[in-house]
Amino acid sequence: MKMEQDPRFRRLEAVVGAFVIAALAAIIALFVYIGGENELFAERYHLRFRAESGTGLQKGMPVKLSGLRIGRIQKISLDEQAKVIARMKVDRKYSKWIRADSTATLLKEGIVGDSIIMISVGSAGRPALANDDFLPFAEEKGLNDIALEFSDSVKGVLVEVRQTVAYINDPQGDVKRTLANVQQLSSNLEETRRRADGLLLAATDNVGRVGPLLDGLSAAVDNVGRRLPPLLDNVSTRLPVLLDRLEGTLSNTERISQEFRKAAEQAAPRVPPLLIGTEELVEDTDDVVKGMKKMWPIRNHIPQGNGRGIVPGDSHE
Amino acid sequence: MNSGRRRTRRAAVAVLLSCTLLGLAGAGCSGAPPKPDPPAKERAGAWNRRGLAAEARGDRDGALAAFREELKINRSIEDTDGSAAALVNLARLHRLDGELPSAKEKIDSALLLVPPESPLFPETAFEKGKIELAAGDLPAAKGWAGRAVLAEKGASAGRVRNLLARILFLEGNTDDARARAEDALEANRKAGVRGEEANSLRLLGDIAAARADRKAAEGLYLEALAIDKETAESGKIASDLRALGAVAEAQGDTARALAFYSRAVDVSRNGDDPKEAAAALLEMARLHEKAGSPDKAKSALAERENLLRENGKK
Repeated sequence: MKMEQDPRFRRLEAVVGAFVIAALAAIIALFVYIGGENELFAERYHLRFRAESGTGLQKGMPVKLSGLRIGRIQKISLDEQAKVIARMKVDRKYSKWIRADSTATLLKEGIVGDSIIMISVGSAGRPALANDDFLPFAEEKGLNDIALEFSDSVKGVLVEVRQTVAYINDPQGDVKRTLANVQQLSSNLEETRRRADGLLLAATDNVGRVGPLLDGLSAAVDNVGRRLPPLLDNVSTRLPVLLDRLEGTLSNTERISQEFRKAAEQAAPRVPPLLIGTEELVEDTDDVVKGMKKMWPIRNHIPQGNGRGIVPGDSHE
Repeated sequence: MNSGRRRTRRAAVAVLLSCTLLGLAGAGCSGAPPKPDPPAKERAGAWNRRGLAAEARGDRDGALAAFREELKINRSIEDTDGSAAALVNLARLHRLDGELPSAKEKIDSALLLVPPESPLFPETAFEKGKIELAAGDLPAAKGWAGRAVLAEKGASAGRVRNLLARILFLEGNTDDARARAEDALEANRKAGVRGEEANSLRLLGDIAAARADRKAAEGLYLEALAIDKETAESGKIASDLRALGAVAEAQGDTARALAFYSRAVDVSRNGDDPKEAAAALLEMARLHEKAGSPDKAKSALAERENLLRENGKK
């Protein structure tokens, strides 16, 4: 018996099959897409660090390198010495920058941001870290720590300021005493000014007393006037004799200089030939000496320099 | 008969005298006389000799003036070797006067005129090395000293090797310095250059002292001192005595060290080197202080002050 089939269901199996296959493909594509986006298929490896305390550390905390997320904290546990061991899962493709001198630091992104683990970039010459290697860990100071530190340092400054103010205010201190000295000095200056005024007044009075002194001086000049004429008489008697002698000396000097000039005039024509003769004699002597220098056996005893002698050098002057 | 014999004897004596005179004249003429130089070259040579003589008697200004004249004449006739020699002399004197920029300028000018194959090259390279050493540029000094060592094959070989060894020692390369200094010592002994032989010994003493081999250092310094006394080099004698003082001090023999320093003061003072004398007096003051004699230390320092003051007045 032949079954009658509804033409609407003729290709039902094929259509259902295609639909299921398309749905599965879409699901797989979605899975691959989401996995790719979340780097589920990226090759990863583990790195660890040891911390004194687990405060601030959380499972799933992002691990960053140069600000870029490269992994997360996978596990936090305690070791035998009760130290915290944090195990990070890090994308393998970043392993080339995480080297033996890299460090892990717990820090906050901004002042109130999330805590992250920041790994520093290692030096090119150092070896890359292997799976499950340890990184040195440092915890960056938090806001509270910074505030405490700031408060400590400000406290020290405040103490110093208080001490300085107390020192300035101390009546026996240098500052107060200096100020008192300055005050004393200015009052002394005022006193000195008053005395100077008194002195100037006294000087004005003394000018009046100069008159009698001038009278005394005039008497002395009169006295000199009385003694001067005999002295002048004495000089006028002796001066002509002295002048006569001086005249004689001058005439003698003149005669000598005339004789000398005459002698020089007579000798002058002979000087140039004499000089020329001397020069010739010197040149001849030079020639003779040079000739002798070249003669045997004298020349053997004269150093034959080439005129390019060098000042003797020494390796250790 | 008698008169005939006398006549014969006279003739024989005359012949003999004539022969002797002829022989002497012949011998005198046999050596070829040196070819005379042109007048300009002769004048340059005369200035060169005057410069050397002035430097030998300690007249540095006179020597500088003479070498400048020599350079001027040599340049006027384009005598390259003569100019180079004058420039090397000027550079050396400027260096000894402590005028390093002028010394550098002169030696650089000389190096432009002297090709490496010139007989003047070793001396020029040696002086360049000395100037660089004085300027404190050890790598440059080593380079030039090395070139001088390669170029110098004559009696100055030991001197240039000494310089290279000293530079190596100053660089802290004591092993190479020692090898070079020993090499220099051998060359100086072979060439009979006593002053440089003493320099080699002193340098080897310095190297031994740096290696804390005080016994060897003392022996080497004493050998150097003996030669420096032989060549009568006051400055070097004082230097040897101070080195011996330092070795004695390192050996813990303060009294001996003081004796050496005292001798060094005496030598330097009488050798008109007040700076060296003052340095030795400072060492003495330090040693007296160390030995617990502050009065003697004070006295040595006062003597030093007087010496420097007198020198400053001059």
